[in-house]
Amino acid sequence: MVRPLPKPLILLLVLGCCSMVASADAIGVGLLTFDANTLTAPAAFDILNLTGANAFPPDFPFTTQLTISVTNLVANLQGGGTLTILGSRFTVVDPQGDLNCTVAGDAGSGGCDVAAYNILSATLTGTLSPLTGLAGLPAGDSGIASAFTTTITPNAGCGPNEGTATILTAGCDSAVVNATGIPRTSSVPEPSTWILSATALIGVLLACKVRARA
Amino acid sequence: MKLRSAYPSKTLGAVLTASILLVPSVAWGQSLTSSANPPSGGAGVNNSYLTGSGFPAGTITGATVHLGASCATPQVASGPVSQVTTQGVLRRFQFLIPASVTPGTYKVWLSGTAGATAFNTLNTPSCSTITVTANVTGTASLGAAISGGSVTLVDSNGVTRFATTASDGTFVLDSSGLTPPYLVRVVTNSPSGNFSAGTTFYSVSADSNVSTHINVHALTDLMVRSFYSAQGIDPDTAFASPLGPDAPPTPLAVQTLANLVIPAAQLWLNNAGVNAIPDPPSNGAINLISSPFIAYPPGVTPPSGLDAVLHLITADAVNPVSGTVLGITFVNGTITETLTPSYPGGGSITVNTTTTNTANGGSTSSESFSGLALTPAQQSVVDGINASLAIFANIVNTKGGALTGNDLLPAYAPDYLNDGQNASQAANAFALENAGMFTVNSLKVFSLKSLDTVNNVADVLVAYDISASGQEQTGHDFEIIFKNEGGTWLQYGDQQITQVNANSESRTSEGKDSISVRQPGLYFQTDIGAFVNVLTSFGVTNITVSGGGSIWNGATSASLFHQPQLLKNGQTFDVFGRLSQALTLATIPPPGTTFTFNFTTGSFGSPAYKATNNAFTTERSVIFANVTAGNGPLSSVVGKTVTYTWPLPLTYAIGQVHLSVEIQDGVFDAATHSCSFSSTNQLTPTSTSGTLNIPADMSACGGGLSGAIQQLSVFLEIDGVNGEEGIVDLTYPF
Repeated sequence: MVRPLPKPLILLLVLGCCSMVASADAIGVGLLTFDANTLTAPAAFDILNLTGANAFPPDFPFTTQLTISVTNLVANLQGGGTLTILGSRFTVVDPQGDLNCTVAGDAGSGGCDVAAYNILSATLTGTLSPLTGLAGLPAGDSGIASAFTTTITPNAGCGPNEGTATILTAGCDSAVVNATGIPRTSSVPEPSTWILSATALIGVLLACKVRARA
Repeated sequence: MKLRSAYPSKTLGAVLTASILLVPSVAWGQSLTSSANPPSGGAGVNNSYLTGSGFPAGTITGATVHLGASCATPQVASGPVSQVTTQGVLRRFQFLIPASVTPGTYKVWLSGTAGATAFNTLNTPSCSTITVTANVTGTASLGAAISGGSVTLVDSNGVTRFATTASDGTFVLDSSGLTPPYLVRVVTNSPSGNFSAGTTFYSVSADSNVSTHINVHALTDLMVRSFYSAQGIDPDTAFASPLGPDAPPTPLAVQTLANLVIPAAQLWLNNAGVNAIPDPPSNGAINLISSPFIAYPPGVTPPSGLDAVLHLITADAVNPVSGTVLGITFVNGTITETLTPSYPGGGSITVNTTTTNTANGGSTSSESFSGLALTPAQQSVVDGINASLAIFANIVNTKGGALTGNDLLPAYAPDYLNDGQNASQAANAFALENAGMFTVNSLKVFSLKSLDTVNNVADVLVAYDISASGQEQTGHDFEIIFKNEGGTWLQYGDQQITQVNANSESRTSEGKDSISVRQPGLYFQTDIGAFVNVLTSFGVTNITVSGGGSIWNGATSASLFHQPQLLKNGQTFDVFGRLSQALTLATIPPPGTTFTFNFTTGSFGSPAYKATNNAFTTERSVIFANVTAGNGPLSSVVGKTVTYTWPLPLTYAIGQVHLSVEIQDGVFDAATHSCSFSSTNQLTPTSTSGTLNIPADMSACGGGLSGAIQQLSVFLEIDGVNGEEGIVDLTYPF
């Protein structure tokens, strides 16, 4: 006697077929970090470029190095108000395209130091380039959008007793910078997706067939 | 049941094939980004971060960064990871660039444990690159960030570097090729608060690292100017060429200076939640010089932290000719503290403070702190004493539980005498009390309180680091007097048969006090309390005290009263004591006044000993809150457990609170016996109540005593961290 395939296993196979497709819209390209006690300042925002030599496929898949340009970073302050750090204060600091805020001085006076502020969250906006011809581009995408937006909020584990703080914690909080993948305009599934789906279906059908014979 | 029997082999193969194709690839090793970020920083000063993926599942513990010339062993330095964070598949490791690394470019790798799995990115291999720069960072503040100030650093060879402070008062200087210690000067270029443009503040490096952090503010300025003023050197002249006798203070000398300035500003530091220490920062405690801090913009009142203390400084006067600090003034509401340094000669520094509170009728506290400006010429003394301390520590550790007085005796001078104990007695007492109780990790000179270069006697505060029952304990208030005998610095003692004390005290008497003739009830006075406890074996029959002017019942001297004998730790002491007449703010001798005690003894001649009085306070808040006059028969407390409550003083930083009861078997004279018991609960500087178990009779004293308690006194002492003494004496019956 042959047992039928359990339903959870069938569900797993189906979900496996879908996983790569679902992640195509947001593609990791970097990390916005809130760093403590750096050469620049006691507390400042930096951006780690996770493309090119710093790629970590499949989550950060671009082996073509992207250039990250910052438009600005707007911090929402506890008690109200915002603090804007212009993109001109961010400088490429190494060959991998890491982009750090490097201007000395208080962020409210043209610098990068935000140690004197209690920040609830901060939103980074900017652009990416190039947009096409990217090695590591997920199947199903033809390129990426130029604009990106990333919001950093207090991370779990960065607050008191490893909980979540109400304000950002320098040296701990970070947020992934995602590019937006542009799907191919074709309305039919791509061949690679068909191959994967067919492989899974063969397995399922084979199991059903065996079950029917039994 | 076997799996293969349940499913046909073709089915299983198809499922496995599909799964392998569908599951995302798994990283078999750890990968780090090419560069650390930030990719550069100062050794021992700045953080950097390593980011990577492929780490085993589980919490990462014991992570360590390793720096090497290449991505391979051997390492040139390592240091702990101070924080690990997770962002999806990424792990991010924060670390302080190891202080021992010289400037240059290095490869960095990680080792540690994730869950139960050890990892080392060298196994991949994967490393990040980091450039270690030599720089001096700092923050300049005069209670508001100094923006646009001109920064000059000069090293011990006279080489200079220049920078300008940013809007938040921070600055960075390239220190490549420089030789510490460094002096730093900041000159303001715009007025701020009460400080005009051109105000000059000095500071100095607190360690011997090429890369370091140096804050610049009024308190660091006081340290540097005091160091040079004590030697009769104009700090401006020394800064221009800090060579030879104008050399900057060493890190040890800076510790000594901080040990004077911190207690002088203790009230404000405490109020601002700042735990400042003369040592390198640790466990949340900051160093006034080397700990980064936030300097707030002008017009903003800092909520807490060091800048909140600096913000209270309304004046910092400097003699324009000598460069000496004349006085620093802190103001917060009704409370004003004036800090005034003086330089009596011989390299000595005395910092006097006066704190007044105009609220509630007004009160004043005054303090005085003294120490030496430790110059390079005195380094040989420090080295010699450190060598003796190391030998002493080695004996303690080597002998452990078998330690005896004879083992330690070589560390004591043959003519040692300290508070009545000779060398053998002191060595035996130390061994008896401490054998096997702890391991000495280090003993070293913390500061020199005084140095007699004629007799080669040094009064030293020793910093200790010991481990006891798995707990590490540190401190730097262990005072030892050494003498160089035969080329070796040996423990010498104070050369007295006992200590003498002349304490400025703010005393409140409640109940019936037999010391003076007065009516029962509440009585307050500020006075000098002269007290001596001396072993009965010396046969002391009389002690007179003089000093402070005509404060001893209108005379310049007076005999101390021979009070009830005190039984303590199996020994019997003759007790002598006397209070001066009630004094006012205008008549109380200032802190540091010398008092002389002349002894008449049966076995030790007629020695004369000196003592200086401590800080004083006129604050009257030290009083029992739950005592009703005229309601205190002996029966209400003898043999009972009694709780007392009190409010805390406001004009001085509290160091300790102590509640005790002293019981007596007769009237207040030398034929009577007494002994003392502390509160049953451990009191802290914030305690406002305490409980006493008052004995039922005199047998509690031991020594064969028995019989009824005839009188008892409950004492509450609330002492300031800098020696202020508020005391309540509640005597029963009343």
